[in-house]
Parts: sequence; structure tokens; C-alpha cells
Amino acid sequence: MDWDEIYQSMLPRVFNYFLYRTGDLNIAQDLAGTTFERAWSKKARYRSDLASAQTWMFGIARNVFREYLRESRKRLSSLVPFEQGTQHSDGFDRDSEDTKILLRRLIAMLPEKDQELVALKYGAGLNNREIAGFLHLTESNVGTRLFRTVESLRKQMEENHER
Amino acid sequence: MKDDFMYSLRQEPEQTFSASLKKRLEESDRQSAAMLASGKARLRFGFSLAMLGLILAILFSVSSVRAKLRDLVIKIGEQGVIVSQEYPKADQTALVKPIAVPISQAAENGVFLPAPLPKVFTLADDHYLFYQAEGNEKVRGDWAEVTWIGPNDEKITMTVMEKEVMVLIGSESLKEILLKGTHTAGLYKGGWNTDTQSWDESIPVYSLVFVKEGQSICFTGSNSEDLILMAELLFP
Repeated sequence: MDWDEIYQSMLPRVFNYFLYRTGDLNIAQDLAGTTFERAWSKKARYRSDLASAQTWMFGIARNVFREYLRESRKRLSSLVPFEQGTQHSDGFDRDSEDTKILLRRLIAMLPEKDQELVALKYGAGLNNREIAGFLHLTESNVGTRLFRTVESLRKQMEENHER
Repeated sequence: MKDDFMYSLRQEPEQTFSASLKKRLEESDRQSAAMLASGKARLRFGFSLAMLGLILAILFSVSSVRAKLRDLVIKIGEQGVIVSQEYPKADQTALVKPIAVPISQAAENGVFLPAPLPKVFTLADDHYLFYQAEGNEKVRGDWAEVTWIGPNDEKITMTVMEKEVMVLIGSESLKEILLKGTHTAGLYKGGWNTDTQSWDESIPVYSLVFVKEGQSICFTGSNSEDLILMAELLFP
């Protein structure tokens, strides 16, 4: 196994999974660090014939996130760290940042399972089949649910911009 | 589906974070290699120390009567746990000599093993140990112990006791977790240190306790995730 290659390719995806789940850059980095440290301590036990490195890593990442939720008992919707972005600074693209803040808030208000779907799809970059395996849904179920969720988010974004 | 906007929250991890994590992982690799080279002596020592602690804990786990005013009695699901700052007194101990029973007789004796066992774990022995406390006033109930060996020579022990037995620990770091999302269990780290006569959370051993079908079950080992994995195999 080329663990260096796994590190390079998986770090951005694991980090973005946590970023979509928590909305907080520092927490996302902490959780990504915990995931990799845990995975590295179990490298000897990893069996490529049973699961791909991606499946294995995201299995660990999802456990790390569950533990984080349990321990922190925080509601993600209460995390609004990107509010800091609304403060002006040189070269600041306010519209774009506002849009991101709104999207992040809307995602945080989704039901838990839909937040996980969004994080696995757009943060982790998994395809519908891979997500279906993690969430014990059918591939078409994942597609339908994602479509409804994204459409609903888009509508809310558009409505908000029209105001 | 127009979903480009959904990718707008993606970011690259900060370079300083990425570099520092890589450094930590490389250091962890070096330490693992050094530990393997030294025959994992430290881990084995830690484990044996904690096992001694666990055995003492079981011997002292008599009933809620054992709990003193200063002790904290916690219910994790159906499992009773006494959190005490007081090291179990020697005059309350009892030595119980175990009987080796063929593992093939485990199920008929009410000792159900996790199945299917992950291939990386193997039974340490073709016998399990049965501790019969009958007639001994200082301990309550009988218990059985089964041990598996992991891929790095680490041990996982499952102890099966009567449901009424309460586990005596000195740690308030007990966490409640769910096995298979439904079965409540308690997870804690450390053991009674016989040298310092106190609870020692630095001992690198985790314990997972829960009640299943009238039996109190405790898994101990150096990796909490492996304990959860094994315990969940008891819930098909």
C-alpha cells in the first residue's frame, strides 16, 4: 500500500467531509487529524481485499464524527464560524462569502441524514453508489434524496437573494 | 441536476495543518516500528497491570451494598457501575482459582462468543476460564473469561458475569455509548494500579461493560474500537 499516496488523496476529502458536517475550519482539521492518526495506528490491520482505502478511511471518519457529536453535544446549527467572513477586509468578495454563509446555514438546518448525504457527496466527493453503501440505502434512493435536497436548497437560496 | 453551487464550500486544508499532520503520522510510524522491535513489552506490561486491576474490580464488585456514601453509583443501561476514589482494601479480596473449560462447551454453559469472529483475531486458548465463587462470602456470583489475540499480539478479554454484579472503577471518565445504535454500554480507560493503590487512567487499556440477556459482559483491551467491534458481534 502506498500510504503516502493515500494521505495525499484522502486528506482533502476527509477534511471537506468534516467541513461540510461542522462548518468550522478548525474543528474540521482536528477531526481530520484524529481520523488519520486513528487510521495510521491501524494500518497493519487494514485489508485491501475487504474494503477500499476510501471506504476504510470514511468508515473511520464517520465514527470520529459520531464520537465528536456525542462528546460535544453541540447542535451544528449553532455553529456559525463563517460569520467572521462578513467583516470587510482587503480583496474580500462579500457576495460570495454571504452566499456561502447562507448555504452553510441551510445545510445545518437539514435533517441529520440529509446533512450526512450532502457531506459525503459534496464534501467527501463520493458517488451515489458509495454513499448508498455507507447509509444502507439503495443507489436510486440516494439519487432521489439528493435531488430533492439540492433543489430545496437552491430554491431557498434564490428566495433569499430576491429579498 | 444543477448542483455546482453545492461545491462552493469546499476548501483545501491549510498547508501548515497538512504538513504538521504528516509529521505526526510519520512520527507515529516510527514509534510503532520501535515498539514492534522491542517486542511490545510496554503494551504487555500495561495490559497485565490493567488485567490485575480488572480482576480486583470483579472481586470487589459485590453489590450496591459495597457502595459507600462517597461513591457514585451509575446505571449504564442495566449495568451498575460504582465510581469510587478508594482503592479496594486487601482484606476484602478473595482468591478464586479458575477452572479451564473446553471452549466447545462455552455456549452450553451460557458463555456466548462473538461471531463471526474477525479473521484478524484468534482465540488465545482452546479453553476458557471459569471462576466459581460459590461459598465465598467476599465475592458474588461466578464468572467466565475468554481471551483472543489480535494481529499485533494484543489481547481482548471477554468476562461474563451475573447481571447483578456491579463494576467498581475509580474513573469518572466513564462514557455511555450505543452498540449497534440501540444497546447501551459503558466505556472507560485505565485500571486499579496495585503499586500506587489508586485508579490509573494512564494504563492503556479500555473496558466496555454492558448487560445482555441477564448477563453482565465486560470486554477489555488496548483498542476501544476493537472492543466495540467484538461486542457488537454479540448483537446480530
